[in-house]
Amino acid sequence: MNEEFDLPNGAKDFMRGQQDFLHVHNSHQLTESDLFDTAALILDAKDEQLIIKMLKKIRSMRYKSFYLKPVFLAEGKYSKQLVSQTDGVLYTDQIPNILDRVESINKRIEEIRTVTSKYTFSESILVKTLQYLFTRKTEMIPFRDRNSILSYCFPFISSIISREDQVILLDVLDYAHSEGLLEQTLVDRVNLCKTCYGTYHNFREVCPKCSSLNLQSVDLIHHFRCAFIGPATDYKQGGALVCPKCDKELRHIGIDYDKPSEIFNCLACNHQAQIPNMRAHCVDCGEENELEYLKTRAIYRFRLTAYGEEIAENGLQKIDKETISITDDQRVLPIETWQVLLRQEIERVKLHGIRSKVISVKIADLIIDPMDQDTRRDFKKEVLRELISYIRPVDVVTTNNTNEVFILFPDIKTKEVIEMEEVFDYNLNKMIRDNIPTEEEVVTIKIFPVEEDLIDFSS
Amino acid sequence: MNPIWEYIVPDYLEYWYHGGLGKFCRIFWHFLVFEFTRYIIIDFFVLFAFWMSRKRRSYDWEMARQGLFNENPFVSIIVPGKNEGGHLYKLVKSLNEQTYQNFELIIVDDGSNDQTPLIGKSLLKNGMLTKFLRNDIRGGKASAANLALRFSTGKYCVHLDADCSFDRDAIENVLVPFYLDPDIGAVGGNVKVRDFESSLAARLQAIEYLKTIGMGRTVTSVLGIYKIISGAFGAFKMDAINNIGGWDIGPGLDGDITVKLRKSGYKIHFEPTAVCLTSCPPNFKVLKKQRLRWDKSIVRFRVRKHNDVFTPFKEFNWLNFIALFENVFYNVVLNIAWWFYFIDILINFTGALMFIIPMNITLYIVAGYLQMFSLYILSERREEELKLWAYVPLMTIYTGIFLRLVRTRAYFDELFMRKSYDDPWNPVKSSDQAKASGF
Repeated sequence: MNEEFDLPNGAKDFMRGQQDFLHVHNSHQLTESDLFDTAALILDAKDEQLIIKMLKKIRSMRYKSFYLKPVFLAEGKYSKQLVSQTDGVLYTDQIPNILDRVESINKRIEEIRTVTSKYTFSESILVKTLQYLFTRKTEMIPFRDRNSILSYCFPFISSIISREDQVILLDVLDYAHSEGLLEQTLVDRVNLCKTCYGTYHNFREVCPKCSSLNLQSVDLIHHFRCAFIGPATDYKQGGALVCPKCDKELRHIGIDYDKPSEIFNCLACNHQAQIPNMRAHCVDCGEENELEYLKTRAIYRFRLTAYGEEIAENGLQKIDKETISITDDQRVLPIETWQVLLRQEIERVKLHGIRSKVISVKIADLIIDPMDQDTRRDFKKEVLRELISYIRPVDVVTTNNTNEVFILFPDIKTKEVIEMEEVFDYNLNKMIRDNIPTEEEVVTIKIFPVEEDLIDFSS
Repeated sequence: MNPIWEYIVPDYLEYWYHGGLGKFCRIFWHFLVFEFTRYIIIDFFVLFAFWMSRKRRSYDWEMARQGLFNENPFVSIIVPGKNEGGHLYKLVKSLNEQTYQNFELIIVDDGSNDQTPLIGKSLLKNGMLTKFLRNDIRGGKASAANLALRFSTGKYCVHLDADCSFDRDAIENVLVPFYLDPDIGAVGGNVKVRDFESSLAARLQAIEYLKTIGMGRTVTSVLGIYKIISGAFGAFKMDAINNIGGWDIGPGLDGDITVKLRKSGYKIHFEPTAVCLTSCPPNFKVLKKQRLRWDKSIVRFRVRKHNDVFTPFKEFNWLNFIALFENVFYNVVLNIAWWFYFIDILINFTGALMFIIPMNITLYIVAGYLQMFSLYILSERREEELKLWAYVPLMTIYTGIFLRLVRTRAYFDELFMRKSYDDPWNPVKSSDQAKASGF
């Protein structure tokens, strides 16, 4: 049920057209039926955590008209981070502008074609990000947030992702950029803990031998006259500095002696060295990261491209997601095109009785699953390159969104196709096992005759 | 007919035939009394004895070698230097190949202003060095070596130059002599020129190194008067070197520390089978600078700092006296005396120079080949060193003129102007203090 907006300073002024602003005090009010006829939401609660909870509920809803709905904060004081996750604070003097904005956002939400595809988590993040940028006609500018595991949050989209999954958001945004959906401008770089991806580190020097923090730094003293050099402790006799080599007293720095560098003693293991190891102690999980093992990720601000707008409007089914990135080789066709050729080949087989075959090559999940998105894409490209290097110019290749590649071999002898299968099997096994030692089966290769069933199978 | 064969050769032969042995000795007394006696007769006699004793030495060596490996002492290899980063990786690889492996490797970067700190830290991080120590402010070679010494933990200390590489058994062979005789306090390695085919200057230096180090030091070591362990490759007993306070300010600190050890009662041994290859100055200009520095140090350390070995105090030692006397006499005194000899010949035999000069060259060439022959017998690199034989005649000009002129200039500068204290090889702060203290 909609609650009419009834602020003391003229709630009716907020009404425009058929729809109202829904004034929300708690998350129980946020049911889909209640949101149906509202133009925008005004979150009004004293507790910021409660507001965050409400925001998350809204942005996690199933339908675009709900999760993209304009959300404002009731007039008041809020953290900058919270404001950034909404469409702003509803200041009375800005109401006319806000109404225009709400109208514009809702109009754009209407332009988004209803998408029925069942998206994965990553795809859902991608789509919502694109739709947010499309409806708000804005850039997505990350803002510093101490509570974010990445130290940065992104407007809108960060509110629906758990703290631990923020890195996935970076992967998704990188992917969107690599596919030409988003333009990016570098804002910062962050160093992630190898265990929890946290960015809150305590940098400290430790003993290279025993990793103890208990280090004591001592100056090295060089006595010019006799060329002796050693820690200051070697020289100290009472209050004076006396050279242990020539027994002369060192009186004047720069004339008798200097301090060319320092050395530290580890009070735990007595090791002496000049270069301690630097470690990044993750405040979140306690991991002691060696600096070279911190994963550096870039933080960008994003702007929607024309292609991104098209995808935001029409949904992801417009693009064959992984195929976009790996079909830079013209031999790899989109699955739909490949299926057209397959149908033609089926007809040719029926008409002329020629022997054509399809080989399917499937990489085991145990190889693919541990890979991150970039690695998976590169790996798939490598597999395709390997396969293409052996096939004939007339053979055509495609891949779907799983770990499977299909190759159509028109008019080929059975013996040749078996040889081809063996070549694929040997080379792919070698390529994979050289990099990933495993005893498990890593590749499954099957040969099919060209017939109707294959159309469904390859889909 | 060719005028050389028609007139000059018969005149030349007639001059020496009619002049007789007396005239020959009168003209070449300098060569006969000093150089032929010292570098041919004595060297050949000693080397022959050395060669004859090879079976006994071989047995002793094997016993000592077993002693070394039974004890397996921990050894500190120290490499002080400035701007030597480019050599470090090759040095580490060369040391990784050694037959003796129980060592720590300590590199000291003496205020380098190139990529050395980065390279050193990287090698340290990759576990290729035990310690990488750096003086942000340059203190000079001696202080860098002393810094390494201060943090060394081995029973023996091996001092290397970063631009050297080593035969696989070099470290082993430089350590074995400590087990031949417990009184040996330090062992010098055999330094040879690595890239001797790169230039004429390098070839001539390679021949010189073979003669003065490979042969000369073997002889002096057998005689017990060996007095300089090359900074490029030398091993020291840790307690011995600590007792004398490590290295003093250079230049010439390698000779200085050897004399200090001798004066402290330790025997010094040269080991020709402990072979180290080093790079040498690629041209005569750079070579001249290097030799001016080395030759000045002979006056500064042998003549001045350690002149007490020439005086009969209670710690007088004949071998130390002979070692330094031979060094000073053959390098400084005879070099100066040669100019008097030269003037004598110019004045008294002006008309016969056309006969004297060819004979002089002939004598030096023959002597040179005799030395090369004895080196050939002793060398482990005969095939390679045969390539140098063609250049032996040029050694007459190299040692007889080039090095003699450089040496004369160095002695003059040091004796009268103490120029070694102005040498940029040492930082001014150290040179000033050394000069003020009379070192």
